[in-house]
Amino acid sequence: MAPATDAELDDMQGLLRSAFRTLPSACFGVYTLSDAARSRTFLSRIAARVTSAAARNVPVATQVSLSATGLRAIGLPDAVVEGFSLEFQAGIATPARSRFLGDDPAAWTWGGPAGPQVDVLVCTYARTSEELHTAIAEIDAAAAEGGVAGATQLETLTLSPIEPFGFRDGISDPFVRELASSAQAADPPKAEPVPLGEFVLGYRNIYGLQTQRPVLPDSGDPNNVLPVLSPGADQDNPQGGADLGRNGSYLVLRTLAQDTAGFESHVREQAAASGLDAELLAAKMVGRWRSGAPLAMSHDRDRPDLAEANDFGYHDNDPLGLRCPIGAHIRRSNPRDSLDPQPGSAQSLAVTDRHRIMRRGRKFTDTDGGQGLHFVALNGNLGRQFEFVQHTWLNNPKFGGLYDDVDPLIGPRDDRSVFTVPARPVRRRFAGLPDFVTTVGGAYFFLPGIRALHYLCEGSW
Amino acid sequence: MPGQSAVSVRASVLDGSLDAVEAALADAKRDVLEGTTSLATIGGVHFARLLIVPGDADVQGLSNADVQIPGDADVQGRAIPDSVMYMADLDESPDRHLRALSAQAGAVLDAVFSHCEGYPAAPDPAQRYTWLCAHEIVSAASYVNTIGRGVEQIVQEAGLHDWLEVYLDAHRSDLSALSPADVHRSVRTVVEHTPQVRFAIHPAPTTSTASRVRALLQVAASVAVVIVASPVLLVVGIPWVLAVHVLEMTDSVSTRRPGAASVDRLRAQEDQFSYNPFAAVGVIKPGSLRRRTVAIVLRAIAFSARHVFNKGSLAGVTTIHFARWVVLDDQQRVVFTSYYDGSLESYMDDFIDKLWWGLNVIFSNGLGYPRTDWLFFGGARKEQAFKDYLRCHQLGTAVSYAAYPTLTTSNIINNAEIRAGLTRDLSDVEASQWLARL
Repeated sequence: MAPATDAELDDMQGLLRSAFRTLPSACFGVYTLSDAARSRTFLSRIAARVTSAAARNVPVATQVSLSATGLRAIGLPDAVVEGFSLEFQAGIATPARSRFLGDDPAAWTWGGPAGPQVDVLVCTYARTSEELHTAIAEIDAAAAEGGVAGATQLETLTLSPIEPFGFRDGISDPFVRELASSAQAADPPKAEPVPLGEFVLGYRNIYGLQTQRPVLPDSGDPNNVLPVLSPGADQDNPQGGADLGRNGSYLVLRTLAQDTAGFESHVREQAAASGLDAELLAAKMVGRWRSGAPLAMSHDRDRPDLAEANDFGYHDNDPLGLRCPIGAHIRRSNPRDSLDPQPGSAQSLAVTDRHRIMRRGRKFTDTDGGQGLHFVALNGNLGRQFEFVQHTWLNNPKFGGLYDDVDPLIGPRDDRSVFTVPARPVRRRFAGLPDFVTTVGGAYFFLPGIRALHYLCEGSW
Repeated sequence: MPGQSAVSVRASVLDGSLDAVEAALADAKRDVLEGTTSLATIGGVHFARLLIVPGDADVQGLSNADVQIPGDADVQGRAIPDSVMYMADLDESPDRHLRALSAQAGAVLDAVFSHCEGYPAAPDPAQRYTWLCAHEIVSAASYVNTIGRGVEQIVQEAGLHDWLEVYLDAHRSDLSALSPADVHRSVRTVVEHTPQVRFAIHPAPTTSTASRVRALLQVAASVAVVIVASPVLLVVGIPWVLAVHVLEMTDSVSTRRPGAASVDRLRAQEDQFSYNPFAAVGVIKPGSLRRRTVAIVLRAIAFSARHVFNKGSLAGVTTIHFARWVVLDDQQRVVFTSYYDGSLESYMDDFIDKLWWGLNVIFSNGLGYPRTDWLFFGGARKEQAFKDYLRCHQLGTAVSYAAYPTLTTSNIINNAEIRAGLTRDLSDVEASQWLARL
């Protein structure tokens, strides 16, 4: 098995390593393919622009990923597509999965059954909106040439760390040593690093194993484009082969519409009715104050000096949720050390670490003034990471021993749904939560390694 | 207080009648979903299910190019037919349950089992009962989350919890001025004067002294037997383990992945309630050593489920309501069923993270299971191989009834603690902890 230090950054797309924060303008283009050969020509034009994880200080970055239908549309044989995970093959919008994730794809503006097929995602990042528009024009020209139709262009707002409800976001991303920037590497967080294979296929995951991915017999890669998997390096592919999955990742894109006015007025009304300070109630729902300061570290007032604080747990100082409610958004999305068995222990942290995702989202404003987030997550195992977090932690009314609580920000609600704020002597319970966040589009993509991308463009399988 | 029991009935489906059985099961499922099932009128049923166990092992993807499947024929070489199983987890004895079922659920029994071997035409309750008894199978081992907690108690205590939550919502502003002990005292007084919840000021029934003594004697007797027999156990046990180790190094391992269509069918049934019913069938590896290992391990599971893992946790996994192992077809196949909270993904992750050794020691005797090392190690720790194996061997549960489909084990235990806290006055510290349960 390859040692962990062999991370092939120059064969990974840059998004795995960076959210491209130095490139504040971004747009996510979703395309529908038709003719296989012409689609591959289009892909090659994009592939030539793709930025690797080894590149530094680029003025414009392009990242490309394909859905399962996209891989089939460029002619990749079914037997190869079947090497990907079942979740990816089926896509995000199957009926059983929608129930599981709390989605209603029939009402989606993109990615649902009514809209055009979602095959390719091209994410473009630039220093200025002028540079961004130049790049997009070039990509669209390539699309037109390749008979590729634009399904939707997801415009994003200029990058900012504050999400539409007004909270600092993106603070807690898993620390992966091999992907750390030099600044991070110089001052690493106290938490155990998460193994690279949890996010990048072809490396050891948290069980010390290789995550399932397509590995082809050598004959499947006649031009030797793909990374070579040596015999004995992967428990599932003992003979080795051509590693189509290596340096790739699964990318989840979901468009989340956020009712910012509804959130503010609800918080104000409920605060007035309950006698709680409105800012405190909003913080109780999120688990952090608007500045980003965690309730677990400052429970009675916002402390901007703790805006980026991330080295904290729940078990020792807040097991009952008196500071940060059990059902608060950040306690659900990352329960840290509060899970069975033995909350507060390293074992508890290890269980949580099996369900981490890397977030790369950007916010948007639509033409009607609506705001929201194009949520982007990267992970190696959709079922154990993204879907688990969404279903078992965020949407689950029974999370953490609760009964009818939902994530107060994003969980799907019904008549019984409440948000419980623990307090002494008697807790507060808020019923009648409106929907603040609605998923209005989404898809699963494969973000290939760069050699894998060239293999897909060539079409010699 | 009830001591739970488990009943399993299995009947062979008549040739060509599988579609008719499936149609009858679909009707029975609709009745459960619409709340009109006769199961609800029979007291003391925690969970009940009907499922089809395919005779042909290939049906659910058991076959594998590298694995020889002996499981589609019995020892006499006859093909194993498809069968229907009825399984229920009860407060009363299987016998009383089957009598009640015969009398009160005649329509559903007739609809499903009239397509099975030997079912009487137009039976009366006595004939149904006789037929059911003739088709009963004793399970090899069963697990109960908390021994002795009956359906009635669980449902009553859930009502208490809901009532208290509404009460606290309505009176929060008055109560907030009080100390925790005073809040508790005042709530307790109201409970005492409210007929609907007055039961809660009395403690829940506990296991009788006689049955505690009986359990203790059983443990003592087993320990004594193990001590007396320890020289023999060593002499037999060491070569036994070595022999199994030799087998496990060369046993074939299935590399089959579950098909997208079959996983879609299974997922369509899952995650409808806060619990999920799980069922799987496995073929025991050939040879008497494996069959005997299964028998011994199941005996050990039965013992530890009764005497060790009887208070809400199966070796660290707290989300399982009931589980059961039934050996079928001349000890060639084992059916495992359970009811657990949350998604199958989280259930499998719990297995892999917390109970891997327990799964390995039993399931590694099943054909195609991921390779183990000394029976306990490896196996389930091979995450994807283990998840694929479970999905490939999983059976759909056509009909699943639960007396309390929206309660998790954690809710049930919390409700019981809430009730326990109402039976006496509490100190401020105790009252704070009690109030945190609401």
